[in-house]
Order: sequence, then structure tokens, then C-alpha cells
Amino acid sequence: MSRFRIIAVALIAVTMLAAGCGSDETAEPADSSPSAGASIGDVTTLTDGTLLVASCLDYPPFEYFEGSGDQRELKGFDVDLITAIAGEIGLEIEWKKANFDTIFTALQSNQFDAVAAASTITAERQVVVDFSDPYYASRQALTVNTEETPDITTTDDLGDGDTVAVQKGTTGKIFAEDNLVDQGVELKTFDLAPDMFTDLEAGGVQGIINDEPASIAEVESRPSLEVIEPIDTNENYGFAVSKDNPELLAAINAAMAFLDRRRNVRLDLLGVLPGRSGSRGVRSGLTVGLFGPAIDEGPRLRSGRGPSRVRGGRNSNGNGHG
Amino acid sequence: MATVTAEDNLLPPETRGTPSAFSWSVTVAGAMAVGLVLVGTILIQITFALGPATVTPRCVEAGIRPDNPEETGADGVCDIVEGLESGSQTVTLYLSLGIGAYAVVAGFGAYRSMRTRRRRDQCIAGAALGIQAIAIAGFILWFRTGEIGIFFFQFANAHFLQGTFDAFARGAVNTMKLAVVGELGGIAIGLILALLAISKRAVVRAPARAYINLFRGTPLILQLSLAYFGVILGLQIQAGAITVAMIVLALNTGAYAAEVFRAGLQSIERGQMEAARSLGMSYLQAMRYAIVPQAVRRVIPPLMNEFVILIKDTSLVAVLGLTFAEYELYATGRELYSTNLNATPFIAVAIAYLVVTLPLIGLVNIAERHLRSGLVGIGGEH
Repeated sequence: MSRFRIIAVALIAVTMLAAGCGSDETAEPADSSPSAGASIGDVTTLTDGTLLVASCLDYPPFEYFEGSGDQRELKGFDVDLITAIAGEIGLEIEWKKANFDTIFTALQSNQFDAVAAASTITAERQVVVDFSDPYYASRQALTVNTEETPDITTTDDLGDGDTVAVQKGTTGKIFAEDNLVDQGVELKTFDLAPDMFTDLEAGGVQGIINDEPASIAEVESRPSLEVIEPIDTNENYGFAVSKDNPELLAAINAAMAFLDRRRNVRLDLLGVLPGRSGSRGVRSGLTVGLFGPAIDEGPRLRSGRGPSRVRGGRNSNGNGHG
Repeated sequence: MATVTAEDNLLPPETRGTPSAFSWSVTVAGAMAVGLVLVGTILIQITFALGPATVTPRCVEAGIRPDNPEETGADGVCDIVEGLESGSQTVTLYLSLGIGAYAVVAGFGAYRSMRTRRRRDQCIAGAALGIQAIAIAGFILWFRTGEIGIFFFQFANAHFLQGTFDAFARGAVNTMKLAVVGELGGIAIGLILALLAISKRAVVRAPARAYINLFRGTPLILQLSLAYFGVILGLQIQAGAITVAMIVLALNTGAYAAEVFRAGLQSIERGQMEAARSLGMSYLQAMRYAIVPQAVRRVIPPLMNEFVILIKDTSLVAVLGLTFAEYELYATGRELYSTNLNATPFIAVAIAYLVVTLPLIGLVNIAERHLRSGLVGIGGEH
């Protein structure tokens, strides 16, 4: 599996290089498509000409910083998609870091224009904010420390005396509350997602329930951890917009549909995103339209276990779009 | 004739003169204006809260969504809105404004021409109360013009507090555990540090000063994060977040307590030490039996202040990974906030903190009054 993964990542890098550098298909939507701007109605944002977007900014592969010092750069799936969308609408992106558990109420009170934080569309959140059309189908996953607890293979193995880490305000926490607490599992809540993985490494908790793609990205740099069980929760990510700004919501949806139709915008999509095929992964036509030829990478999760794993594969190869 | 008792002698001579009917009327008018707007508003709220709870068209206009009132608490919030926008509330507000304005005009207009000091005081008191009444009533009048439905839905929605009492009680217990352990540990650390910090020898002072400056110079939230995510998780030591938090709180409080103790020790007159030494005590004995007991008396009020600050600082523990059983007050409120996407639990948290801290602040003031010695500064009477 791990060897397969390296090949897959390399393949993606190659296709991205070929397509991204060899032609001018790279995303420069604002200039290249004045007609799109016309079809999208006028929007008002908090600051004219700027789309103020809130996110955790520590949630690979959706939004994270790569590099250090001056080379530090914000990357990720959400980052690329919302940047392309803003380009279509004719707005500059400005990022704002926010804690996930207060992000929707902050948006409700118009502290920023939109939330792009790998956030699942839920009925509870829809009471306070509006969501765009779904752009990514996700699910939860159980991550464990295979060195400390080799005998845990599914959530059913968790029970009395076990502690599971969840991030505050997430659908992973809701899942754990609804399903694991009855088994006697105690929940430990964190503000920031990376802290959960640090605690799991240290043996402070026995497992983590978190979004599958983010978990897979996090464990890459942590050899003792492994994502062992996907949990189908039927979740869809959407961008959130304040209920006071339906024009912006309409514009985001229109831009997303336009990007989808045009099929030549190439985003900096990462090789680690799971589930391109079937019901999961990037929604509908976006798969082809935005992200180049779909590569069937097979099941992303290991069912067996062993010491080998891809390390730094994403960083060294995945982003080579030129 | 009647004998002069000691009590008579203790009463200060009456120099403020007699009141007049007019000056009394100004004070009463001011008090009435404040009382009317406060008591009136509360009574109107109680009346509406006891009445039937439905989401009326007026509430929908004020920004409350009418769907599923049982699940959102919109019906209860609507009572608050209806009460504030009711006719009786309007009458109360304008009446309070009018009486308050009279008290201000009469009080400020007449106090210079009052014959006695008491009459002047009463005029000024009436005018001050009048200003307060005008401010409160004016604020409510202005506030009513906004979308108060949304505001009260966010901040005063009792629906989201239903069944949370146990969680808050557990949170309060955890908060107090953290604060008490932190304070006791801090006092022990602080006393030792202070004794080192007042040494004549620089080599003895230096480590104590370094410790104090390190902990006073960095934010507590950083110390907690560093200790938990850095030291404990980084070195893979098995220790719960609460244990780590207690240790860090004690270490941090120790630095502040050390400064308090040092100031207390240095405020003891040099003669006390000299007298003790001249009786044949060693330096340590003199400290133990003469200086420290006196200093402790003086540092009790500032240490209690530190304790009040520490109770509030325990909220920073929420940045660590906590299990539900470990949640302190702030984490409890924040959890309920993010689950319900509603800020009312934060109001409950604020009240819970005040329930603990206000009596303590009162105690500090009493202690300060009893233990105070020497000069008395200007300001209010104590």
C-alpha cells in the first residue's frame, strides 16, 4: 500500500507538472473570464474588493502552512478552491485564523465574510449560517497509536477506561458523543486538531475521531500513528456564509458551478485526498473539472499494519504544480 | 445632670446641619427615578415571563425566527422582547426620564444656595441618582430601537441552560480545586522565594529573581501550553492535564506570591530584626519568630487578591485537552456554546464566577480594613 501510495503521489505530481507548467491552464480565472464576472451578481463584503475568509489554518490537507520563514505559504484544498472562487467573483482573499468551535457564531455576527474550514454542512449549523453547495464528500476515521495499543482495530474495541480525543465543535465530536460514550469511552476535547495527534503520540488518549482526509495527512509525519478505520457519516463539506449575505452565497455557488463547467482550472490538489472514486471525495463533476484526470488510488486506508509508511511524500511531490 | 458616657464622646460632632423638605424631595426624586426604571423593568419582565409563551409577530419583527420555538427557546426569548417593547415599559421609561430630569435640574440648580451641608449633600445625591436614572432609561430606550430579538436570543435564552446545572456545578468544583491547589502551592513556593529574594547575598538572590522574572514575564497561557503540549506530551510523560495545570498554576502563583511576600517582609521595620537579633536570636530564628509572622498579617489582603485573580486564570486551562469530567467553569460554558451555537451559557459562566469571586472580593475589603495600619489615603470611606 505504501509503495502504491508513493507511485500514486508521484503520478499526480507528474500530471500536475505536465499540465500546470506545459500549458496556461493554471488558475487565473479573474483575468481570463470576464464573462463569468458578469454572470455573477454584485456582491458586498465587509471590506470592498476583499473576501475575508476564516479558517483554522492548521488542518492539512485542506488548509495549512508549508515551508518556513519567508517561504511560509498557505496551502490546501479549501485554500485553492476558495481562491479560485473569489477570483471568479473578482475578490481578493484575506485569511483570518479562528478556532473551529466558535467559527460559525463569529460568522453569524459578521466578523468575516465566509468560512472555508473543511466544515461539514449540518442542520444545527444551518440554523446560524448558510452553506454553499457541497464541494467535498467526507467521512470520519479512527486513528490510533499502533505502538501503544496494537489491539485496537475498530471503534468496537474501545470501551471502559479508554479516552478518545476529539476537536471541539466538530462532527467527529458529535459522532463520538452519539456512539462511543455509550461504550464507556471518555472524550477529551481539544481546541486545535494537531494537539490531539500530539496527545495520541504521547499515549494520553487511545484514539482520535476526526475527518478522514485530515487524519491521514496528520499521521504522515507521526510514525507511531495510523488511521485504522473509516467511519461513514455521510458528510459534505460546504463553505459557510452569513445569513445576512445571500448575494455572496449565490455568487460562490455560481462561481463554483462555473469552475466546474470550465474544467480547465487546475488546483493544487494533494495526493492524499482520499476517495476520488465512488461516493466519497470531491463532489460530482468537480472531480474532473477542477482537479485533472481522476486517478483511482484504491482504498486509502490500511487494513493491515506495519512499520512502513509514506513520509513527507506529500510535501516533496504533491505540490509540484509549478 | 446626665453623665457623659464614653459612647457620646466617640460620636463625631454634628456639623452637617439640618435637612430641608426641598433637599429631601430632590433625593427622593432621584431615588424614585432609579428605582422606577430598575424595579419597574424587572417587574414587567416577571409579569411577561409568567404569562403565556408564544412567538408573536412583534418578536418576529425583532429578529426572532418563529420555527420550532420549543427547540430554540424562541418563545421564552419572545417574553423578554414583548416585555421590553410593552406599553407599560414605555410609560416606566419616560416617567423615570422625567423624574430623573427633575432631580438633576433641581439638584444641580439649587445646591449652591442650600444653607447647610446636609441639604447640599442631599441635592447632589438626588442629581447624581437622576443622572443614573436618565442613563439607564435612555440606554433601554435606545436599545429597544435595535434588533433586540436577535440579541436576547443569543445572550438570554434560558432554553440552552436547561439541564446544565450539574455540568456547571462540576465545573465550579473543578475551578475551585485548581485555584485552591494552585494558591496553596503558590504560597509555599512564594514564601521560600521571597526569603531568598531578600537575601543580602547576590548569589542567593539571583536564582530567585530569575525564577520570578521568568514566570512573571511570560503569559500563563504560554506556560500551560508549554508544560502540557511541550514538556508532558513532547517527553511522553504520563500526566493528566489537570495535574499539569495545578503544577503550572502553583509555579506561576508562586512568582507573584513571592513579590507580595517580599514587599511584606521589607515593610517590616528594620528595628524589629535588630531587636530580635539583640535578644540572641539567629537570623533564621528572627525571621521565623519576629519578621514572618508580622509580614504574613500584612500580606493577607494582597494574597487574597491573588487568589481572586487565580480563580479567573484557571479558565486558561481550557486550552489543554480536557475530558468532560475535568471541565472547569469556562470550558463548560464554551462546550455548551459550541454545541448550541448560542452565547447564553457564557452569561451563566459569568454569573457562576461572580458567585465565587464577589464574596471573596468583599472578604478582601474587610480584611484590608482590619489589617490596615498607618496612613489613610483619599477616596471613599471604608
